[in-house]
Amino acid sequence: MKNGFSIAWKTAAAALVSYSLVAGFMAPVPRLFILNETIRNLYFHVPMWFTMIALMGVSLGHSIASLRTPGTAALESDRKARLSAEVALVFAALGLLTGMIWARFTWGAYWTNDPKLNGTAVAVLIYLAYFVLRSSVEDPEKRARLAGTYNIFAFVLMLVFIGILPRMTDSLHPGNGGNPAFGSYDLDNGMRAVFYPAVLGWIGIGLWIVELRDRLARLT
Amino acid sequence: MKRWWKLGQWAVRADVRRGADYLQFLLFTAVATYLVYQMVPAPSPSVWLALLWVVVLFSAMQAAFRAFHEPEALWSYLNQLVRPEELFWVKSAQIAVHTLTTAAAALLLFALFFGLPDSAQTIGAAAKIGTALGLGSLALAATMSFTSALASRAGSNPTLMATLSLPLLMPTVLVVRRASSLAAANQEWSELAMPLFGELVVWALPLALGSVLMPYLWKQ
Repeated sequence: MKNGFSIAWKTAAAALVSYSLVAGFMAPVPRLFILNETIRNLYFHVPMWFTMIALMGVSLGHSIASLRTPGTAALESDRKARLSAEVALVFAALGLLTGMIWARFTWGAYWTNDPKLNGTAVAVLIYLAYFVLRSSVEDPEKRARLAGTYNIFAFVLMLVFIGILPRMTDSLHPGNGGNPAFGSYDLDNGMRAVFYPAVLGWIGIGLWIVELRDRLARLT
Repeated sequence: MKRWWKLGQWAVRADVRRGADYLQFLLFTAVATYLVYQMVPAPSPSVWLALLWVVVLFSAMQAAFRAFHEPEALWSYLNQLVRPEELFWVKSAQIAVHTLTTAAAALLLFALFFGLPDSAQTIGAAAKIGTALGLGSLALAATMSFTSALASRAGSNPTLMATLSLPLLMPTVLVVRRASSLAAANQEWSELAMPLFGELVVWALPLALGSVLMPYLWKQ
């Protein structure tokens, strides 16, 4: 039963991502001034951030579990927290890359001093610091405890930073500073039909990668 | 109450015992301000504020690192007397006093070397800058209290403290910069209310998180 469910969600994730890749390049999109064809980046850039946040949330959950459970269970949760954060960082890098390419064509520069961009860059730095902390402690149990507390502390502050602060200041980014977001781009819902499957599919792929890496880590 | 009194006394005695360290922070602030003055003798108001915060941040970080830099035997003794969160609150208060002292010294030295910005020559404007700087310093101290405790548990490494703190301090720095910019421009108190409330939030959040996480972090 469990095996059947596992196969089902992985198949669904692969199918959704495949569909979003094909439809993302081929399906019609609204013709908007300045954005033009770059609006398609919504199918690739935004799901990367959703996946990053989801995986960081998974990492947070494992960190909480590692602090609440004793012994080897704590170490196992800590390992899963680390792996989830690692995969989240890969998606963060992809999110930054796709965002930079989009910014070059719409804003004229790969990077601007924008609160949303700074927020995401700092989120990446926070998680790099998490790995620096891990590498500076030898004892596995102590490492699990310290990394777990930092992960929880950092996640909450990061949410404030990337979720709330950009809304308090002017930003060029869609959805902030009075700029239109996804809901305003497409009133006939055509884009939503590609965007939401892309988000779900990429989150599924992210979780699948974490699971594979965890199985590999248990073998080695 | 008696326990709090004891802890407070211990923190003050520790500061008195290390009086030279205190002078060292102030000297660092003075030297850094003089260095900045040599390099940028007539900064614009925005540069003035940015330099002020850089000096405060780095001086305060040194003070915060030393606050949790105690012999292991002393921690073992204190752990029998008080709960970890009580220790965190006392240490946070100690770091807040250090940071406020550093910020006051930096503001005084900046006023002496550079003068206050043209828009902030009145007593009322100076009070606004002082309020924004004071609340901002408390907010910085709250985050650094937790990262300092974390770094002390991970082997008292000052580089690690900086690595963990700087990304987490970015949201706070942006909030305090906004509040102090408005204060330096001598905006009305009603305009300043929201940014000052933002400073209160970024002060309270790390304190609340630190209080919850400290027992896990401090567990032997």
